[in-house]
Amino acid sequence: MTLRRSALPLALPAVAWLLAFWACPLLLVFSMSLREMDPVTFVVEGFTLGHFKEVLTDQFHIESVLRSLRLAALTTLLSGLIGYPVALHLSRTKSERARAVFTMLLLIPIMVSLVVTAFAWILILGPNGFLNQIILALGLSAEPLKVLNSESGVLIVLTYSFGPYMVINIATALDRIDPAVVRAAEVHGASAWQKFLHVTLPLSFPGILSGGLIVFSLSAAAFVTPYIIGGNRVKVVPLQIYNAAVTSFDWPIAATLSVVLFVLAMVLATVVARLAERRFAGWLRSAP
Amino acid sequence: MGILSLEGIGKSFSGQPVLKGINLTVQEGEFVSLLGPSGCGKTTTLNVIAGFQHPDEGEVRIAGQRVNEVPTHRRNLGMVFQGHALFPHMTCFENVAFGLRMRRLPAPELQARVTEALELVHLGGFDRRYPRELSGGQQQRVGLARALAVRPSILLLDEPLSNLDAKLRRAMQGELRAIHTRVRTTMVYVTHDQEEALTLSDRIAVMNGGRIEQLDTPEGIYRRPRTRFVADFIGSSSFLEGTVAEAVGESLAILVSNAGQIHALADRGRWARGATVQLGVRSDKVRLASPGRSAGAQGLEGTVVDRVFAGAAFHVVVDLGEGRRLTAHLTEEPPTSVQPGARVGLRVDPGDWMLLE
Repeated sequence: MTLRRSALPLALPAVAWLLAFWACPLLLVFSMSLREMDPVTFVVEGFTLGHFKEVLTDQFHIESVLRSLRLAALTTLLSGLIGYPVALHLSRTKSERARAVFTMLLLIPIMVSLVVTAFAWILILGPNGFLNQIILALGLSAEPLKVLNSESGVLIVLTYSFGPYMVINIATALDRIDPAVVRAAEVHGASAWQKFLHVTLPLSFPGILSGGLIVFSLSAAAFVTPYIIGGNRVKVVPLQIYNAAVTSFDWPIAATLSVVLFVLAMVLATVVARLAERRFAGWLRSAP
Repeated sequence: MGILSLEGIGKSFSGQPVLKGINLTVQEGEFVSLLGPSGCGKTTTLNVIAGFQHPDEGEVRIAGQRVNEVPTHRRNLGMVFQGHALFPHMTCFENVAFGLRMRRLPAPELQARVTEALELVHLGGFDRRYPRELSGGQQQRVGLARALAVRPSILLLDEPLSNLDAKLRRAMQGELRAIHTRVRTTMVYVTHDQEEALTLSDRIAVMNGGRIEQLDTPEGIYRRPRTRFVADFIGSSSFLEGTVAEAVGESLAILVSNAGQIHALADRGRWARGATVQLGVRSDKVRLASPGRSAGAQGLEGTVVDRVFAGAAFHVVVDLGEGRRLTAHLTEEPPTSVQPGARVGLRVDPGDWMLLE
């Protein structure tokens, strides 16, 4: 336990940094949600639960919270479905060079600014975009699909933007699987599909879980993508927070929305992760 | 015909030949070891049998059927790996049950077979433990139970004991022997440990450079090695070259230049006068004699270069000139006169000389 004792002083600067620049603002937001503020004089005073009552009873706000959580959940699901085969392919790529190129390509959506990404997608998803040109040319639809300024458009671009986190997390988990374990499954009678279902998939579960948590939190908090792709029509919570804080100077409502989204996203993510872990990964918690 | 036969197996990796015409027939219930140094092709041979690698040429037959095109999972094999390779996300029970589940065995029979297999390796009651809650030896025994539970036509073992410490390894060797005696499953065992191969096997295939150098019983391999490689790989031996001076029936008089003359029994092959022969002798078959007396007609003579106490034996290294050295492992302490620089005579019984190709 000497290690634990000696490591604490080393962690102090980081802890201090987090307290000052992460915990304090967060606490300020929490406290703001419980107080009144005059929108003209900016004087903060009193104590009230009224903002929570307002947010939680207002149809408009409730819908935006549900929309945010739904979008985050769907983005996570879609990233997993599309990302898993990609991760599988990446981890099976033997050549170091091909791997490096592949990884670079994967990281592009993360490295390019979300604003740039979003405007590029407008060109693809717009009424006269590539997607609609193809659909019209193939005669799949008589008129252009309304993907832009819709939830499905936001979903597509969120998946594109955050999916790579899923791929990289799953690929890392896949890389950690001992090839002999997969061979053991094969030699004892598992077909390619059974090998995947009974060995590869469960053993990559930690990667799915960590990738899923990252994609979920990023998409629940996403602002730029819904703002640009949704054209202010897909009212997600971060957008509402922005409008409340910047347009109507209603900081307490903005703070309350933040707290509600934060708590709900945390609870949902924790519950799902716990349930999934219990169901699929009890082995992770076995001793030692 | 045998339960397993390899016929002229050849395999190259990026132009580099790894197996060069492997021929091997294993009888049902037999325990055969593939023994050799790393890179000799023993693991590749095992992988070809398992179907993890496909031979460039030759035929693999299991129970008379050509299986070259049969995928691994349909070959009805069991395998024990070097690192246990257990499924970390499954309990011992599920690990052992894995092959049976793939074969869709009904639940009651599955339960019985798993329990039986776990008891066979003395791990009854460990059903609900996860692999990482077990010791190295226990993990390897679960691996064995998993492989045996499917009642494989051949059980492949890829250096299963090499990750265990020496004491545990010996204990596991004994257990493996007992299990083989009991279940009589055909086993093909890859190892680089000669002692392991000698104690466990019915027959040993000594491999070198992608070929089987010799295939024989442990006794045959030890007593009658065909090549210098086999003699050198198993046990401690010294090697000499000599010229046949006289050949009478199976008895040869062989001249070892500037060191003396010896008699050897040629248990195979015919040797003509003047032929060059490669000789080998086990270190524990070499005895010391007084110099001069044994020289000439019978025996060799040389200079002591080293004398080492090695616990169970004394090791004496004798220089015969021209860079040739002979090592003697003596169970009794040699006279104090045997010191570096001293002249000594060496005696070997005619039957203890190994004539090598």
